Amino acid sequence: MKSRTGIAARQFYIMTFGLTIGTSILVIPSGLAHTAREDAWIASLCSLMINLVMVVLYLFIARLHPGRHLFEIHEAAFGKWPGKIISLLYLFYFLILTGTLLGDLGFFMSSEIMPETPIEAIQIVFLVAAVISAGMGVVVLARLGELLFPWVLFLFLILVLTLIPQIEWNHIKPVLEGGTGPVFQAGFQSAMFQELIVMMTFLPLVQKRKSGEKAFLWGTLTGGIVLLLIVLLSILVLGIEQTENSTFPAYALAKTINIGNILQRVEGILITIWILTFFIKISLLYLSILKGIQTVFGLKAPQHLIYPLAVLFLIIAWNTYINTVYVNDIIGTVWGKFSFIFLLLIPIMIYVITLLKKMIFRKNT
Amino acid sequence: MNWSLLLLFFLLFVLFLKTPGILRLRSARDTAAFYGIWALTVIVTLADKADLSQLRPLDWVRSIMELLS
Repeated sequence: MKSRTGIAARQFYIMTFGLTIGTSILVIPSGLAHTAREDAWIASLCSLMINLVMVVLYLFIARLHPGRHLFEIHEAAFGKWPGKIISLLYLFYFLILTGTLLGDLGFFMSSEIMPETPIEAIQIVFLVAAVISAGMGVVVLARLGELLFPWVLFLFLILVLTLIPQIEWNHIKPVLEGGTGPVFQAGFQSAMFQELIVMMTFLPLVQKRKSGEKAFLWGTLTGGIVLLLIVLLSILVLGIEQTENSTFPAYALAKTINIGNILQRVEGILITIWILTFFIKISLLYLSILKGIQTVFGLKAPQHLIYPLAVLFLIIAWNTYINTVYVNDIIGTVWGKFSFIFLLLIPIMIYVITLLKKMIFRKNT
Repeated sequence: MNWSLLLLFFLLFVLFLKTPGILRLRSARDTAAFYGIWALTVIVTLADKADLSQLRPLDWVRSIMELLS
Protein backbone atom coordinates (compact mmCIF):
# COMPACT_ATOMS: atom_id res chain seq x y z
CA MET A 1 0.00 0.00 0.00
CA LYS A 2 1.44 3.38 -0.99
CA SER A 3 1.85 6.13 1.56
CA ARG A 4 -0.77 8.86 1.41
CA THR A 5 1.77 11.64 1.86
CA GLY A 6 4.79 10.42 -0.08
CA ILE A 7 5.34 10.00 -3.80
CA ALA A 8 7.26 7.31 -5.65
CA ALA A 9 10.46 8.07 -7.57
CA ARG A 10 8.70 7.07 -10.80
CA GLN A 11 5.97 9.64 -10.16
CA PHE A 12 8.58 12.28 -9.38
CA TYR A 13 10.33 11.46 -12.66
CA ILE A 14 7.06 11.97 -14.59
CA MET A 15 6.40 15.31 -12.88
CA THR A 16 9.94 16.51 -13.67
CA PHE A 17 9.49 15.40 -17.28
CA GLY A 18 6.16 17.27 -17.50
CA LEU A 19 7.63 20.40 -15.95
CA THR A 20 10.55 20.37 -18.40
CA ILE A 21 8.52 20.11 -21.57
CA GLY A 22 5.29 21.86 -20.49
CA THR A 23 4.81 24.99 -22.64
CA SER A 24 8.48 24.94 -23.77
CA ILE A 25 7.64 22.34 -26.43
CA LEU A 26 5.59 24.92 -28.33
CA VAL A 27 7.72 28.04 -28.12
CA ILE A 28 11.37 27.01 -27.57
CA PRO A 29 12.29 26.30 -31.26
CA SER A 30 11.49 29.87 -32.30
CA GLY A 31 13.61 31.52 -29.60
CA LEU A 32 16.56 29.23 -30.23
CA ALA A 33 16.39 29.64 -34.01
CA HIS A 34 16.32 33.42 -33.61
CA THR A 35 19.73 33.51 -31.91
CA ALA A 36 21.52 30.33 -32.97
CA ARG A 37 20.02 29.99 -36.49
CA GLU A 38 20.88 26.58 -38.04
CA ASP A 39 22.65 25.57 -34.81
CA ALA A 40 19.49 25.83 -32.70
CA TRP A 41 19.65 22.08 -32.06
CA ILE A 42 23.18 22.42 -30.64
CA ALA A 43 21.89 25.30 -28.49
CA SER A 44 19.12 22.98 -27.26
CA LEU A 45 21.78 20.40 -26.34
CA CYS A 46 23.68 23.13 -24.54
CA SER A 47 20.49 24.09 -22.68
CA LEU A 48 20.03 20.46 -21.64
CA MET A 49 23.58 20.38 -20.21
CA ILE A 50 23.01 23.63 -18.28
CA ASN A 51 19.76 22.22 -16.87
CA LEU A 52 21.53 19.05 -15.75
CA VAL A 53 24.23 21.12 -14.03
CA MET A 54 21.50 23.14 -12.27
CA VAL A 55 19.76 19.94 -11.12
CA VAL A 56 23.07 18.60 -9.76
CA LEU A 57 23.44 21.85 -7.79
CA TYR A 58 19.87 21.47 -6.45
CA LEU A 59 20.63 17.89 -5.43
CA PHE A 60 23.78 19.00 -3.57
CA ILE A 61 21.65 21.55 -1.72
CA ALA A 62 19.01 18.90 -0.96
CA ARG A 63 21.72 16.62 0.48
CA LEU A 64 22.90 19.43 2.74
CA HIS A 65 19.30 19.95 3.92
CA PRO A 66 17.77 16.46 4.05
CA GLY A 67 13.99 16.35 4.42
CA ARG A 68 13.54 20.09 3.82
CA HIS A 69 11.69 21.60 0.88
CA LEU A 70 12.71 24.76 -1.02
CA PHE A 71 11.11 27.29 1.34
CA GLU A 72 12.38 25.57 4.51
CA ILE A 73 15.88 25.51 2.99
CA HIS A 74 15.75 29.32 2.56
CA GLU A 75 15.06 29.79 6.26
CA ALA A 76 17.70 27.23 7.26
CA ALA A 77 20.37 28.80 5.05
CA PHE A 78 19.72 32.53 5.37
CA GLY A 79 18.08 32.65 8.81
CA LYS A 80 14.40 33.02 9.69
CA TRP A 81 13.51 36.53 8.46
CA PRO A 82 15.94 36.88 5.50
CA GLY A 83 14.84 33.36 4.49
CA LYS A 84 11.19 34.42 4.56
CA ILE A 85 12.00 37.44 2.36
CA ILE A 86 13.80 35.18 -0.15
CA SER A 87 10.79 32.83 -0.09
CA LEU A 88 8.46 35.78 -0.79
CA LEU A 89 10.64 36.71 -3.79
CA TYR A 90 10.34 33.13 -5.06
CA LEU A 91 6.57 33.29 -4.55
CA PHE A 92 6.49 36.46 -6.67
CA TYR A 93 8.53 34.67 -9.36
CA PHE A 94 6.25 31.60 -9.33
CA LEU A 95 3.14 33.84 -9.43
CA ILE A 96 4.34 35.71 -12.52
CA LEU A 97 5.38 32.42 -14.08
CA THR A 98 1.95 30.88 -13.50
CA GLY A 99 0.22 33.96 -14.90
CA THR A 100 2.47 34.02 -17.97
CA LEU A 101 1.89 30.30 -18.60
CA LEU A 102 -1.85 30.81 -18.39
CA GLY A 103 -1.58 33.79 -20.72
CA ASP A 104 0.51 31.74 -23.14
CA LEU A 105 -2.08 28.97 -23.16
CA GLY A 106 -4.96 31.39 -23.73
CA PHE A 107 -3.12 33.15 -26.54
CA PHE A 108 -2.28 29.89 -28.29
CA MET A 109 -5.78 28.43 -28.02
CA SER A 110 -7.56 31.63 -29.06
CA SER A 111 -5.21 32.42 -31.95
CA GLU A 112 -4.68 28.93 -33.41
CA ILE A 113 -7.55 26.65 -32.42
CA MET A 114 -10.61 28.47 -31.08
CA PRO A 115 -10.49 32.03 -32.47
CA GLU A 116 -14.18 32.70 -31.72
CA THR A 117 -13.90 31.81 -28.03
CA PRO A 118 -12.90 34.60 -25.61
CA ILE A 119 -9.38 34.09 -24.26
CA GLU A 120 -10.67 34.63 -20.72
CA ALA A 121 -13.13 31.72 -21.03
CA ILE A 122 -10.34 29.38 -22.19
CA GLN A 123 -8.10 30.41 -19.31
CA ILE A 124 -10.89 29.99 -16.75
CA VAL A 125 -11.66 26.46 -17.99
CA PHE A 126 -8.01 25.43 -17.67
CA LEU A 127 -7.68 27.13 -14.32
CA VAL A 128 -10.67 25.15 -13.00
CA ALA A 129 -8.71 21.94 -13.74
CA ALA A 130 -5.66 23.36 -11.94
CA VAL A 131 -7.84 24.42 -8.96
CA ILE A 132 -9.25 20.88 -8.65
CA SER A 133 -5.72 19.47 -8.89
CA ALA A 134 -4.42 21.85 -6.21
CA GLY A 135 -7.33 20.90 -3.96
CA MET A 136 -6.52 17.19 -4.35
CA GLY A 137 -2.82 17.63 -3.55
CA VAL A 138 0.46 16.49 -4.99
CA VAL A 139 -0.11 12.76 -4.38
CA VAL A 140 -3.17 12.73 -6.63
CA LEU A 141 -1.33 14.82 -9.24
CA ALA A 142 1.53 12.32 -9.15
CA ARG A 143 -0.86 9.41 -9.73
CA LEU A 144 -2.60 11.31 -12.52
CA GLY A 145 0.82 11.91 -14.07
CA GLU A 146 1.32 8.15 -14.18
CA LEU A 147 -1.92 7.80 -16.15
CA LEU A 148 -1.06 10.61 -18.58
CA PHE A 149 2.59 9.76 -19.17
CA PRO A 150 2.13 6.74 -21.52
CA TRP A 151 -0.18 8.85 -23.70
CA VAL A 152 2.31 11.72 -23.86
CA LEU A 153 5.05 9.26 -24.90
CA PHE A 154 2.83 7.47 -27.43
CA LEU A 155 1.67 10.71 -29.07
CA PHE A 156 5.22 12.07 -29.13
CA LEU A 157 6.44 8.91 -30.87
CA ILE A 158 3.70 9.24 -33.49
CA LEU A 159 4.68 12.88 -34.02
CA VAL A 160 8.36 12.07 -34.50
CA LEU A 161 7.84 8.99 -36.68
CA THR A 162 5.39 10.70 -39.03
CA LEU A 163 7.74 13.67 -39.48
CA ILE A 164 10.78 11.59 -40.43
CA PRO A 165 9.85 11.30 -44.17
CA GLN A 166 9.83 15.10 -44.49
CA ILE A 167 13.32 15.68 -43.10
CA GLU A 168 15.59 17.84 -45.25
CA TRP A 169 19.16 17.50 -43.92
CA ASN A 170 20.41 20.59 -45.78
CA HIS A 171 18.34 22.75 -43.41
CA ILE A 172 20.86 22.34 -40.58
CA LYS A 173 23.87 23.23 -42.72
CA PRO A 174 26.25 25.01 -42.28
CA VAL A 175 27.11 23.86 -38.78
CA LEU A 176 28.52 26.47 -36.34
CA GLU A 177 28.84 29.11 -39.06
CA GLY A 178 28.44 31.94 -36.52
CA GLY A 179 30.80 30.34 -33.99
CA THR A 180 29.95 29.01 -30.54
CA GLY A 181 28.93 32.39 -29.01
CA PRO A 182 25.33 32.54 -30.27
CA VAL A 183 24.88 28.82 -29.51
CA PHE A 184 25.86 29.25 -25.84
CA GLN A 185 23.83 32.45 -25.57
CA ALA A 186 20.70 30.76 -26.97
CA GLY A 187 21.30 27.63 -24.86
CA PHE A 188 21.65 29.64 -21.67
CA GLN A 189 18.57 31.74 -22.45
CA SER A 190 16.56 28.57 -23.15
CA ALA A 191 17.73 26.88 -19.92
CA MET A 192 16.14 29.74 -17.97
CA PHE A 193 12.67 28.61 -19.11
CA GLN A 194 12.51 25.16 -17.54
CA GLU A 195 12.28 26.35 -13.90
CA LEU A 196 13.31 23.01 -12.40
CA ILE A 197 13.77 24.67 -9.01
CA VAL A 198 10.00 24.15 -8.56
CA MET A 199 10.69 20.43 -8.05
CA MET A 200 12.70 21.24 -4.92
CA THR A 201 9.34 21.79 -3.19
CA PHE A 202 8.41 18.15 -3.82
CA LEU A 203 11.77 16.35 -3.64
CA PRO A 204 11.51 15.62 0.13
CA LEU A 205 8.21 13.83 -0.53
CA VAL A 206 9.97 11.08 -2.50
CA GLN A 207 10.16 8.03 -0.28
CA LYS A 208 13.66 6.84 -1.32
CA ARG A 209 16.24 9.61 -1.44
CA LYS A 210 18.64 8.01 -3.95
CA SER A 211 15.83 7.02 -6.33
CA GLY A 212 14.37 10.54 -6.05
CA GLU A 213 17.69 12.07 -7.05
CA LYS A 214 17.98 9.72 -10.02
CA ALA A 215 14.39 10.51 -11.01
CA PHE A 216 15.14 14.25 -10.92
CA LEU A 217 18.15 13.81 -13.21
CA TRP A 218 16.40 11.37 -15.59
CA GLY A 219 13.30 13.56 -15.81
CA THR A 220 15.44 16.55 -16.75
CA LEU A 221 17.48 14.49 -19.23
CA THR A 222 14.54 12.87 -21.04
CA GLY A 223 12.50 16.08 -21.02
CA GLY A 224 15.50 17.87 -22.51
CA ILE A 225 15.89 15.18 -25.16
CA VAL A 226 12.23 15.60 -26.16
CA LEU A 227 12.79 19.36 -26.52
CA LEU A 228 15.99 18.71 -28.48
CA LEU A 229 14.12 16.43 -30.89
CA ILE A 230 11.36 19.00 -31.37
CA VAL A 231 13.91 21.76 -32.09
CA LEU A 232 15.85 19.49 -34.46
CA LEU A 233 12.69 18.42 -36.31
CA SER A 234 11.44 22.02 -36.53
CA ILE A 235 14.61 23.05 -38.36
CA LEU A 236 14.92 19.88 -40.43
CA VAL A 237 11.31 20.01 -41.63
CA LEU A 238 10.30 23.68 -41.58
CA GLY A 239 13.68 25.28 -42.28
CA ILE A 240 15.26 28.11 -40.37
CA GLU A 241 13.08 30.99 -41.64
CA GLN A 242 9.74 29.40 -40.84
CA THR A 243 10.97 28.14 -37.45
CA GLU A 244 12.21 31.59 -36.51
CA ASN A 245 9.19 33.51 -37.74
CA SER A 246 6.41 31.25 -36.40
CA THR A 247 4.98 32.09 -33.00
CA PHE A 248 4.41 28.39 -32.34
CA PRO A 249 6.83 26.49 -34.64
CA ALA A 250 6.11 23.07 -33.14
CA TYR A 251 2.42 23.53 -34.00
CA ALA A 252 3.33 24.54 -37.55
CA LEU A 253 5.55 21.45 -37.63
CA ALA A 254 2.70 19.15 -36.63
CA LYS A 255 0.51 20.71 -39.34
CA THR A 256 2.94 19.56 -42.05
CA ILE A 257 2.38 15.85 -41.31
CA ASN A 258 1.04 14.14 -44.40
CA ILE A 259 1.45 10.42 -44.96
CA GLY A 260 0.11 9.45 -48.40
CA ASN A 261 -2.69 12.03 -48.17
CA ILE A 262 -4.37 9.74 -45.64
CA LEU A 263 -2.80 10.73 -42.35
CA GLN A 264 -2.88 14.52 -42.21
CA ARG A 265 -4.07 17.44 -40.00
CA VAL A 266 -2.96 15.56 -36.89
CA GLU A 267 -1.75 18.66 -35.05
CA GLY A 268 -4.18 17.64 -32.31
CA ILE A 269 -1.44 15.22 -31.22
CA LEU A 270 0.86 18.08 -30.37
CA ILE A 271 -1.93 20.04 -28.69
CA THR A 272 -2.74 17.02 -26.51
CA ILE A 273 0.92 16.58 -25.47
CA TRP A 274 1.16 20.27 -24.73
CA ILE A 275 -2.05 20.51 -22.74
CA LEU A 276 -1.25 17.41 -20.63
CA THR A 277 2.24 18.66 -19.74
CA PHE A 278 0.94 22.21 -19.29
CA PHE A 279 -1.55 20.85 -16.75
CA ILE A 280 1.26 19.13 -14.83
CA LYS A 281 3.40 22.28 -14.90
CA ILE A 282 0.70 24.70 -13.77
CA SER A 283 -0.49 22.30 -11.04
CA LEU A 284 3.07 21.93 -9.72
CA LEU A 285 3.48 25.70 -9.64
CA TYR A 286 0.12 26.09 -7.89
CA LEU A 287 1.02 23.51 -5.23
CA SER A 288 4.46 25.03 -4.80
CA ILE A 289 2.97 28.48 -4.23
CA LEU A 290 0.56 27.05 -1.63
CA LYS A 291 3.44 25.27 0.13
CA GLY A 292 5.48 28.48 0.05
CA ILE A 293 2.69 30.58 1.58
CA GLN A 294 2.12 27.89 4.22
CA THR A 295 5.80 27.90 5.18
CA VAL A 296 6.30 31.67 5.15
CA PHE A 297 3.21 32.44 7.23
CA GLY A 298 3.17 29.23 9.27
CA LEU A 299 -0.35 28.23 8.24
CA LYS A 300 -2.32 25.19 9.37
CA ALA A 301 -4.44 24.81 6.22
CA PRO A 302 -3.40 26.62 3.02
CA GLN A 303 -6.24 25.02 1.01
CA HIS A 304 -8.47 28.01 1.85
CA LEU A 305 -6.24 30.16 -0.36
CA ILE A 306 -6.81 28.12 -3.53
CA TYR A 307 -9.74 30.19 -4.87
CA PRO A 308 -8.37 33.71 -4.19
CA LEU A 309 -5.05 32.61 -5.71
CA ALA A 310 -6.84 31.32 -8.82
CA VAL A 311 -8.36 34.77 -9.36
CA LEU A 312 -4.93 36.35 -8.81
CA PHE A 313 -3.43 34.04 -11.48
CA LEU A 314 -6.11 35.12 -13.94
CA ILE A 315 -5.53 38.82 -13.36
CA ILE A 316 -1.76 38.31 -13.68
CA ALA A 317 -2.31 36.35 -16.91
CA TRP A 318 -4.40 39.19 -18.37
CA ASN A 319 -1.75 41.72 -17.42
CA THR A 320 1.36 39.80 -18.47
CA TYR A 321 0.37 38.33 -21.81
CA ILE A 322 -0.84 41.61 -23.29
CA ASN A 323 0.39 40.80 -26.81
CA THR A 324 3.17 38.74 -28.40
CA VAL A 325 5.36 41.76 -29.17
CA TYR A 326 5.30 42.91 -25.52
CA VAL A 327 5.98 39.41 -24.13
CA ASN A 328 8.71 38.60 -26.68
CA ASP A 329 10.42 41.90 -25.89
CA ILE A 330 10.48 41.15 -22.14
CA ILE A 331 11.52 37.52 -22.71
CA GLY A 332 14.28 38.55 -25.10
CA THR A 333 15.71 41.32 -22.93
CA VAL A 334 15.16 40.73 -19.20
CA TRP A 335 13.43 37.43 -18.38
CA GLY A 336 16.59 35.30 -18.76
CA LYS A 337 18.54 37.51 -16.34
CA PHE A 338 15.58 37.64 -13.92
CA SER A 339 15.21 33.84 -13.93
CA PHE A 340 18.98 33.46 -13.51
CA ILE A 341 18.67 35.06 -10.05
CA PHE A 342 16.16 32.41 -8.91
CA LEU A 343 17.45 29.38 -10.79
CA LEU A 344 21.20 29.77 -10.26
CA LEU A 345 22.33 32.78 -8.23
CA ILE A 346 20.28 32.18 -5.06
CA PRO A 347 20.84 28.37 -5.12
CA ILE A 348 24.62 28.96 -5.42
CA MET A 349 24.40 31.37 -2.46
CA ILE A 350 22.45 28.78 -0.46
CA TYR A 351 25.05 26.12 -1.23
CA VAL A 352 28.02 28.32 -0.29
CA ILE A 353 26.38 29.67 2.89
CA THR A 354 25.37 26.17 4.04
CA LEU A 355 28.88 24.83 3.43
CA LEU A 356 30.42 27.76 5.34
CA LYS A 357 27.99 27.27 8.23
CA LYS A 358 28.87 23.56 8.41
CA MET A 359 32.60 24.35 8.35
CA ILE A 360 32.27 26.92 11.16
CA PHE A 361 30.13 24.48 13.18
CA ARG A 362 32.75 21.72 12.76
CA LYS A 363 35.57 24.07 13.84
CA ASN A 364 33.65 25.12 16.94
CA THR A 365 32.93 21.54 17.96
CA MET B 1 -18.45 40.29 -21.19
CA ASN B 2 -17.23 42.02 -18.05
CA TRP B 3 -14.86 39.38 -16.69
CA SER B 4 -13.57 41.50 -13.82
CA LEU B 5 -17.10 41.93 -12.46
CA LEU B 6 -17.63 38.19 -12.70
CA LEU B 7 -14.42 37.63 -10.72
CA LEU B 8 -15.52 40.14 -8.08
CA PHE B 9 -18.80 38.26 -7.60
CA PHE B 10 -16.86 35.01 -7.40
CA LEU B 11 -14.56 36.49 -4.74
CA LEU B 12 -17.59 37.58 -2.75
CA PHE B 13 -18.96 34.04 -2.99
CA VAL B 14 -15.57 32.65 -1.85
CA LEU B 15 -15.64 34.97 1.16
CA PHE B 16 -19.01 33.58 2.31
CA LEU B 17 -18.04 30.01 1.41
CA LYS B 18 -14.69 29.95 3.23
CA THR B 19 -15.30 32.17 6.27
CA PRO B 20 -16.96 29.45 8.44
CA GLY B 21 -14.07 27.05 7.76
CA ILE B 22 -11.48 29.72 8.53
CA LEU B 23 -13.17 30.63 11.82
CA ARG B 24 -13.41 26.95 12.75
CA LEU B 25 -9.63 26.62 12.38
CA ARG B 26 -9.14 29.08 15.30
CA SER B 27 -5.82 30.16 13.85
CA ALA B 28 -4.99 33.86 13.73
CA ARG B 29 -2.30 33.27 11.10
CA ASP B 30 -4.65 31.36 8.79
CA THR B 31 -7.34 34.02 9.20
CA ALA B 32 -4.90 36.87 8.51
CA ALA B 33 -3.40 35.10 5.49
CA PHE B 34 -6.80 34.30 3.98
CA TYR B 35 -8.29 37.77 4.43
CA GLY B 36 -4.99 39.40 3.40
CA ILE B 37 -4.75 37.47 0.14
CA TRP B 38 -8.49 37.85 -0.45
CA ALA B 39 -8.25 41.65 0.00
CA LEU B 40 -5.17 41.81 -2.24
CA THR B 41 -7.02 39.88 -4.95
CA VAL B 42 -10.04 42.19 -4.71
CA ILE B 43 -7.79 45.27 -5.02
CA VAL B 44 -5.96 43.76 -8.00
CA THR B 45 -9.27 42.85 -9.68
CA LEU B 46 -10.58 46.39 -9.16
CA ALA B 47 -7.33 47.80 -10.57
CA ASP B 48 -7.69 45.54 -13.59
CA LYS B 49 -11.29 46.68 -14.05
CA ALA B 50 -10.06 50.29 -13.96
CA ASP B 51 -7.49 49.42 -16.68
CA LEU B 52 -4.55 50.61 -14.61
CA SER B 53 -1.38 50.06 -16.64
CA GLN B 54 0.76 50.06 -13.44
CA LEU B 55 -0.56 46.55 -12.81
CA ARG B 56 1.78 44.85 -15.31
CA PRO B 57 4.17 42.57 -13.35
CA LEU B 58 6.49 42.13 -16.34
CA ASP B 59 7.05 45.91 -16.35
CA TRP B 60 8.04 45.64 -12.67
CA VAL B 61 10.48 42.86 -13.62
CA ARG B 62 11.95 45.06 -16.36
CA SER B 63 12.33 47.97 -13.94
CA ILE B 64 14.01 45.78 -11.30
CA MET B 65 16.45 44.37 -13.84
CA GLU B 66 17.26 47.83 -15.20
CA LEU B 67 17.98 48.96 -11.64
CA LEU B 68 20.20 45.95 -10.97
CA SER B 69 22.20 46.35 -14.17
